[in-house]
Amino acid sequence: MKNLIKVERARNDMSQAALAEKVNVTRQTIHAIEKGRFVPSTALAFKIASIFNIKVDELFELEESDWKAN
Amino acid sequence: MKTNRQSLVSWFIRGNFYLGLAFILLAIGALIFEVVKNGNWFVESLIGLLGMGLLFLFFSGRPMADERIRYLKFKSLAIGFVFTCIAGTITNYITTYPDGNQDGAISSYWFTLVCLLVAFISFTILKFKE
Repeated sequence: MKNLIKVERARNDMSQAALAEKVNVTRQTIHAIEKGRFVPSTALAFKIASIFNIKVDELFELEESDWKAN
Repeated sequence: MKTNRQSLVSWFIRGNFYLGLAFILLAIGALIFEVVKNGNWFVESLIGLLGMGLLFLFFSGRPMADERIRYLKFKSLAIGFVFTCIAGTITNYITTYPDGNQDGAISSYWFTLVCLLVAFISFTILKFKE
């Protein structure tokens, strides 16, 4: 799953640690989500999107491989 | 957004860090006392206490338990269980073969302790790897 968290962070001049604190997760979790190593839950995805004042589907995008993965 | 979390899981996750620490300190203290006094204690119960302490530490939310940490803990516990099952079966087979003497076999207390130690190590590795 692709995401634009890094782009939105840069746009809002926000560090990983600051975002992590706002959504109450560890900085490593934000890093893992940005790198695509961890797919967040629906609640966390909504929280992150609301921090950036955008919709979830603007922040996250499904890839072809997501349809094959279980 | 409210999630339906199981009460037992919640009880563990909300943190019993100090209880776990107390169990471990109690076990270590008892072990030292046993060595100093040269008493005839049942070592397995100390190992059990140590295992219980590790269990509480493992499931406590320290320093922070978010959804990724919980996922990694679950994964590392599965690794620990599988590893200990295989290692325990081999160890028990070697120690009890061929006469069937059960004295050298590892107990369930040791199994728990080794499982949790492997889970702790796996969790530390996975935390940096994933």
